[in-house]
Amino acid sequence: MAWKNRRPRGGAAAVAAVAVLLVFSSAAPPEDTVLFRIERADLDRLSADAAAGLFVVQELQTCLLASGPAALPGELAEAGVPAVVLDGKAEGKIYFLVRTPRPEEGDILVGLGTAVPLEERVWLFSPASGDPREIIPPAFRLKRLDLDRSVVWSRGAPAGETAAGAVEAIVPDPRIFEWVARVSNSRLTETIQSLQNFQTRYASTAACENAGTFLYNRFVQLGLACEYETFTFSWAQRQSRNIIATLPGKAVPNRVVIVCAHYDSISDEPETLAPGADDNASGTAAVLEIARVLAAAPLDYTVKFICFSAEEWGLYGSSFYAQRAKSRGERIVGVINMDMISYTDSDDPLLEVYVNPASRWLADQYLEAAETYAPLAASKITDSSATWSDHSPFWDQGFAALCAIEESAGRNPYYHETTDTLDKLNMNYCTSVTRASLASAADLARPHVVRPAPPTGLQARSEIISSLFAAVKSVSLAWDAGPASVAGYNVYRTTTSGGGHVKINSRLLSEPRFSETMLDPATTYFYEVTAVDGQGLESDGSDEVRDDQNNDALPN
Amino acid sequence: MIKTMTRFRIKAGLRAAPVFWWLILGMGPAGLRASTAAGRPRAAVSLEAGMFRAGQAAFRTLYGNGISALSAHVRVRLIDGLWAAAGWRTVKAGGATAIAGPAFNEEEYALEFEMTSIRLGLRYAFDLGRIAVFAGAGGSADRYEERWVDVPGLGGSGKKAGWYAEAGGEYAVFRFLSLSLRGEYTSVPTARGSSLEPDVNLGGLEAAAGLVFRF
Ligand SMILES: [Zn+2]
Repeated sequence: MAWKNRRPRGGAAAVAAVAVLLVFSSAAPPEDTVLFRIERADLDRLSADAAAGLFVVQELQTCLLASGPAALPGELAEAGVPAVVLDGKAEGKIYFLVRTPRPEEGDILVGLGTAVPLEERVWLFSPASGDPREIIPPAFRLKRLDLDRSVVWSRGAPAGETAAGAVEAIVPDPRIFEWVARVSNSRLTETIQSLQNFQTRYASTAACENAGTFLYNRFVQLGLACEYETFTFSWAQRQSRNIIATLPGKAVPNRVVIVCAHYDSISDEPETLAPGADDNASGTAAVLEIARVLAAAPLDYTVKFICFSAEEWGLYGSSFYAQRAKSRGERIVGVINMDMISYTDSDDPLLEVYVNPASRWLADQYLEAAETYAPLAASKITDSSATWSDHSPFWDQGFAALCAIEESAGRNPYYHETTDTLDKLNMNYCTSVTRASLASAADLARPHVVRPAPPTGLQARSEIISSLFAAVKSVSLAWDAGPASVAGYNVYRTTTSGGGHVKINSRLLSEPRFSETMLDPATTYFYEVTAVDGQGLESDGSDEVRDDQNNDALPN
Repeated sequence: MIKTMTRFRIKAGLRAAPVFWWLILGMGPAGLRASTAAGRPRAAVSLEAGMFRAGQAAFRTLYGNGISALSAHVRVRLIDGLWAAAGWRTVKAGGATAIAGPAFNEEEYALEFEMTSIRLGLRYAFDLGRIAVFAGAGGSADRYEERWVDVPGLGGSGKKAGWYAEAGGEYAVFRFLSLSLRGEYTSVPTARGSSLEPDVNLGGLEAAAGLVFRF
């Protein structure tokens, strides 16, 4: 029941606008939950608070799919935001977002249950009976919708607009070049062959579970901590497993970069033959290969290598993971999802990188890493309706995520067929994409550098120099000299203890002391110092001192 | 000048308003009469040099215990021993900053101080032949400025009202010339200050000596 889970809105003045709209409705006796759509173009007429109060089930490029009490669409219409009711009694129903192979093929859905077109090739579908994966042809991509959860969506800029200055330019790191060079075409090929050898990896089959065990063992062989994450999906309460390997961060292990791909497959004979070489043994092989190369790499942030299952059934594995990550407060920096990265009919293939508006910075970072390190030409596509792979559940939870996928113009004709096999793939292309993803992930996770230790023994004394009508403060700092590897020191000052420190020396200080004068006598200043080594690497700040902290000490 | 005095009078809130108006309006004709009449002098001009010792320790720390002062006064006899006085005084000194509170490096900056005052007052003199002794008091309009010599912008300046009280004696060398010896107490509250002294008063004690020309 969606309405019950609407975010609290009672007394908060901040939601006054939406309260007028909504409290009226909730005051009425319990009523039906309706599923409706609103056009993005109309959202401008909704106040920010009212928009924030919407219970959005799915964000799409041109519209929002939302739920609420039966009276809400009428009230929205009065506010100038027409809401088209898609289902007047949505409680307890199971809905999928279906992406059709071609625009005209949506009609197939109509005979199989309740089907409403939302956008070109995007349909809302509720099956009359049975699991949609078992009744809808494999070429149709599915995403199970969760009507009990409001997704994180962005009201902001329409598609195609670039995020301005969101990403700092990449400073090429020689270690990343080394790692990228170690990505092996033959290992990728071998992994794809091994995965294809399971005949099918259709989630729910024993072969798929065996493939999961195979991946688990590969991660363990790399020396990575690895775990199964078991989840339930489909009508028949089937189970499958995500495979999660973790490379702990050296400096900030609670920040996590995710490199992922789904390892399950599908075809029109899914129980027996679904080789899924491109979709998605290719992405899975890339995850394994990136894990192999980075297994011993010193990175500041944690990297999780995840092979998701039941993607083809409706993104179940990734939805399960993303929801739990959100609940446990996992600090996900960015998600790099690879899905179909090895088929091309071009001599000069392009990679497509799909993001939602909030993740555009991540695509920019990926494109720059790809160009710098792979090198690989890639194009960024901002499309909230690109809900057809494992990045989408991360978007729903408000995480930055992208999907790297081969060019749509020449997409694999063997897609979701029993003929999606290794011999159709361009392994140089696969290698390039793997390299680009490795570079992006390594850059995101910050290659660890050994910085000098912060200076110790910082002492501060201040004196007030005064005349009859004016006074200035003069501060003297001294600290313990660092080891010989330290080339000099920087001094940082703030007037707010604990934050906002600004460097005040213009040149590196060669001696472990510093003084400054002409400061405001009525202000208390706080100082930190850092040590800088011969390569210009700077330590973290020392303990902070107040300007008069050591005034009581014995005179010099 | 009259304008300044008037403003000063209002600012100072002195009670002797009628006396001041009389003085301002009557000084010209009275002076003229004095210079033409025979007998006892009716007007005097004094020029004096003095040594000023500030009342506040902060001032003395910065500028020393004694700083030089120069003054000039014009006096007109009103009735028997009672004189009205108008005067000008300046004190000027160089000094150096001081440390307020704990001192480590004892950083120091050169200072300059200057104060100029214009005053109006009354004096009563007892004539004892060649010697006269007197006491008086009045108000002052004071303009002061302190500068940090090497740090443009630091220091302070302002205009304030104060008062003074004096006592001393004169010895008549000739009929038209006397020597004077005088002590005075001044008070110039500024309502400003610094880390060293939050409420600065630029007054103190001064001992002055000089010449008096009598007409
Ligand atoms: Zn796929």
